[in-house]
Amino acid sequence: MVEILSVNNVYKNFGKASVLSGVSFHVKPREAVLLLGPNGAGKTTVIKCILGLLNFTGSIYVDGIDVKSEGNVARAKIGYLPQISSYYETLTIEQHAKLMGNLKGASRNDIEKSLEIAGLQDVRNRMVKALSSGMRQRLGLSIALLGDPPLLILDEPTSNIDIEGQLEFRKMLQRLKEIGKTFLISTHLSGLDQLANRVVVLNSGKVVAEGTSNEILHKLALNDRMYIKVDEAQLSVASQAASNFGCVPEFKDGWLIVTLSPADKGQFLKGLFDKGVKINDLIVEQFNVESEYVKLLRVSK
Amino acid sequence: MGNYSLWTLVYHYFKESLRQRWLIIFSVIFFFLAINVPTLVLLSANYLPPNYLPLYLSYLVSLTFPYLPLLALPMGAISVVQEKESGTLQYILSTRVTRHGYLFAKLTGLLLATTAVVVIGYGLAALIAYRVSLSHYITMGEIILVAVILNAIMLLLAMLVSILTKRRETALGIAIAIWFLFAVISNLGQLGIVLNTTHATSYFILFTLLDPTESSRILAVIGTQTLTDILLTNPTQLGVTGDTIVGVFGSQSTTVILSTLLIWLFALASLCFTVFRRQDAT
Repeated sequence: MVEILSVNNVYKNFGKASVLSGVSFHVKPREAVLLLGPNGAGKTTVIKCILGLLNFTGSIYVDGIDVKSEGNVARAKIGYLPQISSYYETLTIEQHAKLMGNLKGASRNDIEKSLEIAGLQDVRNRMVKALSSGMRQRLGLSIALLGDPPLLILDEPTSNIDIEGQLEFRKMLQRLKEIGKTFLISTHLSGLDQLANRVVVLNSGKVVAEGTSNEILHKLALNDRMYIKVDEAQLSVASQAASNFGCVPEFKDGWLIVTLSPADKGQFLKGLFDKGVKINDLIVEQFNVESEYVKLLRVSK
Repeated sequence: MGNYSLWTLVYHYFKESLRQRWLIIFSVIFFFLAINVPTLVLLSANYLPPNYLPLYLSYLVSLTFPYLPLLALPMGAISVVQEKESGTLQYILSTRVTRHGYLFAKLTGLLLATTAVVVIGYGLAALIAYRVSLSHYITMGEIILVAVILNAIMLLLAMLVSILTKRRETALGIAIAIWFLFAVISNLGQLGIVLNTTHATSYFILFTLLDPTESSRILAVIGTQTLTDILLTNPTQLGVTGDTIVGVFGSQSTTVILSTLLIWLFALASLCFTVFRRQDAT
């Protein structure tokens, strides 16, 4: 399948500071790719290079079109939602959508449809300056959808909105994914990994990991942490069972603490039952994907 | 980018410019400057001779031209940098709008709005205050044309400042400094040259031509009457700078000054487009 976005060996310096050092990744049609990394990793810079807003070395193609030589043609295939939605504050929602619609070559119907998808059709006459951050983000999404671009690039789309707004926004993105939109979403730990088919982890201007969410987790060899309360007499049996899985058990406040992979977890518990160990209490602390990404980023530094 | 998108953007920036408070304030002030209340009083009291108009127009030019840049300089200076700061520049350039298209639209929108102020300001003043006869409309038209060229030069200069700066306050500060340079320091510098330099005339002419405010003032004054009339009736209308230029270039003065102003225009326009195309849009 032809890639809709191809970022090849991109370098970008601001003065003497190197912000991107040979970044390469690809996005296929209908994929949702998460560009993950901490603040300052270079996520927004990559996006600005894709949009041709920044000069860079390397090459970027959008649907086979070179961003450097035919930037405006390439950008016509992109719907962009910036991290901070900037609008002409003196316009109404509708005026803004029309202005951007005209710039993006969208028809009147397209404009109506995008306002409808973002749930803004009933507040179209409201001034942009009077909008809440959630509504501004929805307006941004409706503008990104104008002209029906195949690729949507969202830069930290949920970072400036409240929890309710975030949930609503995620639902909206899910619906768009279902109708076949391709996404590149930049985020720093915001729980959007459920939406993503693939994750590109960026740190200090380099791609440090890339793959499906599961592949990345596998690479990280993530383990669950189990807190088990057993009778004191059976503690040594339980501890031995954990050791059999290559785990070094810990003891704290009467709890046996065992760290095992998700696959070994069930086998370990079955083993305890088989050995007649009575479990009085059990707490499973699941690995936190985001915190594990952070660990990965620390390792990559 | 299609033509429709481009003109949508031009229209948008034209409307945005018309909404700017500075444009409205300047329009009012400029109108009163152009109608020149003292003259109205003298006119109503019949204290002015019937053929006062050419002389009056040349003094009007000398009075108003140094202030004309104050319209375009602040507006042009904040034009691009304001959009950089607010993020709308990135937003617009993330669509299929090219950098050249953006700058063209921005410049055209601003140019139309500020030109409207100049044309309407002088035009209404001529209509209301001077009761200009048809033959004098040509003279008035020439003054307005030179004013429009000066306005365009200042707009381009300010836009270059706006492109090169990252903060609105810095751009505004530089714009005001440019006005101060052309309206005040330039004259002092010329005076210094006359007093202290051996080959004063050539430097004097060079510095006068490098000052678009002064050279366009001279050009507009020359446009009000024939050179012979000016020199016969009241040569002080041209000022020291104008006298020197006319003394050296004679009947070619208009061509020399106009060419210099057009070089200013094209050089600044090329510089604006080249720098904006090459720099990061942040």
